[in-house]
Amino acid sequence: MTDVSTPRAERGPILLIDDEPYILRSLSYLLTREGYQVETASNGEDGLARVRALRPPLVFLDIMMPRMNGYEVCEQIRQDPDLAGTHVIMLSAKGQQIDRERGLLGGADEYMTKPFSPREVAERVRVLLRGGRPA
Amino acid sequence: MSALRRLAQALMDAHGAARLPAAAGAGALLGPAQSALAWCRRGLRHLWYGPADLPRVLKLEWQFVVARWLGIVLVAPALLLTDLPGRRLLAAYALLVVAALYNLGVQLLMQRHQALFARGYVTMIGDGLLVVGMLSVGGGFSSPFHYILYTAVVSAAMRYGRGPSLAMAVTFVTFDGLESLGRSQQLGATFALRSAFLCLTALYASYLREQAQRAEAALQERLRQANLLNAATAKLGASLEFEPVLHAIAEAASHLFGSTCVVLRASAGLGDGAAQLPLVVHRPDGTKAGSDGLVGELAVLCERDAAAEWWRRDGRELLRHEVLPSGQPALVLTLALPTRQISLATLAVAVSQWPATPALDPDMLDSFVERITLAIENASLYRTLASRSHDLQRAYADLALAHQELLSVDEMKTNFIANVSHELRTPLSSIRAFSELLLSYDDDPATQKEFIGIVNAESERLTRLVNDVLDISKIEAGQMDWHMADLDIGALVRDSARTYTPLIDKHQLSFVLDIEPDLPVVRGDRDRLHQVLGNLISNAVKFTPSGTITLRAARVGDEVHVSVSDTGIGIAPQDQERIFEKFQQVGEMLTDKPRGTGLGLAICRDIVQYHQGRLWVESAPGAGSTFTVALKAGAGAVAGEEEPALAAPRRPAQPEGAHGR
Repeated sequence: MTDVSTPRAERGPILLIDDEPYILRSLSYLLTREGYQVETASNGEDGLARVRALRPPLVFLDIMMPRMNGYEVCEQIRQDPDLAGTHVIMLSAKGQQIDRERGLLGGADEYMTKPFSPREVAERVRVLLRGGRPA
Repeated sequence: MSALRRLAQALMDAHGAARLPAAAGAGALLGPAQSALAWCRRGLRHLWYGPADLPRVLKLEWQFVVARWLGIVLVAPALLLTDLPGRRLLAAYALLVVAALYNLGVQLLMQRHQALFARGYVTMIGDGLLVVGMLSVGGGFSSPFHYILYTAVVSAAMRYGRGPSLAMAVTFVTFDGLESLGRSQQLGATFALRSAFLCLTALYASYLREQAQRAEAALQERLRQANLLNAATAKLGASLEFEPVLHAIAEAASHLFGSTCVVLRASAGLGDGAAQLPLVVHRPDGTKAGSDGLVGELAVLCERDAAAEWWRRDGRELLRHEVLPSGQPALVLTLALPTRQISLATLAVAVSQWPATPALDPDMLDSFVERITLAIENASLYRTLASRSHDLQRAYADLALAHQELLSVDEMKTNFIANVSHELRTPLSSIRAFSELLLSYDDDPATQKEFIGIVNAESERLTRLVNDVLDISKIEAGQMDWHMADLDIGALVRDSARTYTPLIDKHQLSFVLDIEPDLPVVRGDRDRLHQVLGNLISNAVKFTPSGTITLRAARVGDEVHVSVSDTGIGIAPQDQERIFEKFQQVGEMLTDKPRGTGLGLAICRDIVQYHQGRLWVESAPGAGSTFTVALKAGAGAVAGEEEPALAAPRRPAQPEGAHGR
């Protein structure tokens, strides 16, 4: 995990949207260490604006956030043709099956629950960005 | 005789329709004979009772006409058998022709001059003249023609009854006697026998007539009563509802007894609710109920009779006569089921004469009582049924509601658990993520220290969260140990102020303490109230970037108000109630402190409510907030355990199932 073979920043930054400062801190540390460029936003509305501005290849999205929740942000991303290449990983403390299904049906590529393992997150990011947009 | 022929012709015409189908009967040998027999029977009946359109009052006259024809037909050949001398025989036949003409005249004229013939006087005089003529032609009272006198006497009896019939008999006897004396004959035993038979015949015939009339009158009376009963009770079946049935009964009684006022009182024994039924008053003349003393007097009669409960001893006494204080006669009718020992109702009926029931036969009265008893019983049963059905419906509704409440409690519980699980996952995420990062990456000591600090802070937060969750579930499950005592509230507030002064100082806020002297004693749990004040003060610090925190305690009416005011960011009106709900955090954090658990204010409100107090907030965005706790003043103002129970040691929280996947 520590081995950084190729620079991964050329495809643009990974955007983290979460209202918990510690989550933002841990994920940005992890992904920076993995060689990605990282940007953060601490609420849904702000996050969506950043997605549109940055067109990141991957967005980490919390669900329960002030101003606009993760489901709504994801819906907006999927409705925007300019953002067709954007992957979305939902990362939420809502761990029930129904929440997971709602997230995936709403257009998320992955649904991960908190507490999460940083190693696993790094692995998923790697697979997702290498494989391109899944069906 | 042409009249008879015409009559026969009319008969044939009338029954022609009946004859034709019989004649057409295919080859049945018995058919013609049977139809001929039936035709004869119908013909004879028609002959005797007259045409169908004959008025009722002429029926008897018609039968006399038929009898006269019969007599004429029989007498005509019989005259030849007598040894009357030639001239007398001729005179007799002449008289017979006169009789036939007379009879024909009667038959033809009686329908047209109904009034003339209905009374019967015309024909009686005519018959009398004929009889006298017969007798003079036939040779006097001692001749065989004597028997015609009986016919005349019987016909008079049938028409006019005893008096005229007897008068006629006496007249005949007188003529007989005069004639005999005129012939210088002695009035012998034959004359006496003749006269006696004639008078007896008159008496017996009129007796038979009276009997027949009485029987018919009795029949008519029964018919009248039955009609009256039916008319009176016709409305009884119109409704099954209790009160309409009672009204219908009162109306029926008024109708039946011809009363101007009926009061009905339903018995209390009819089941629940009957006791509240008002007296039912029926006044056919439309007078307002209670407008005179009559209703009151009848009501008293009802009450007295119901109280007497005579029916328990003697169920057969249905109707009693009473005299009201005002002097008016009245009837009291009690309806009861003696076999089942149930009293149904009492009726008091004002009547105009006394006794008032000659018009009603006992069995008619029985029938009336039976009908209204049945109506009351049915209505009572119906009401019981309706009430049961209503009870059942209500029970079902209650059950449905309870079920709904259970479901909603269940849903609230599920929501609570989901929320708790969500809230536990957040600090756990930080702990897991940072510890794993520490293990995975080597970094400078400063970063390492930062991560370890975060792990430490988040474990503290997790601990607080677990404690809060335990607190709130214990309070809401009623399992919290409360140590209620009479508290010096001023001292308690000062104590809280001392505890939180360092925190306030650390955030460089000024602190004002304003405690009214001589505050009354308040009953409460010291530690829990301390917890409430501490929570309010640390919230105030958290949301106040700069300014003042004020802690006040004052007496307001029979309450002590303790308030925590700040000059912080304030709370939007729409959020002011939401902040007391579980896991509701509004606005954004100002300090870099870790987040709260979202349970603090919910716990505060639960604690204050246990003290039968109130907790509320007054605030506006940007203008600071004031949280006020109102507690009842006075020792023992709040019910609670007197004896301080030993606090159960709080178990170290080890929430299971909170691990990530």
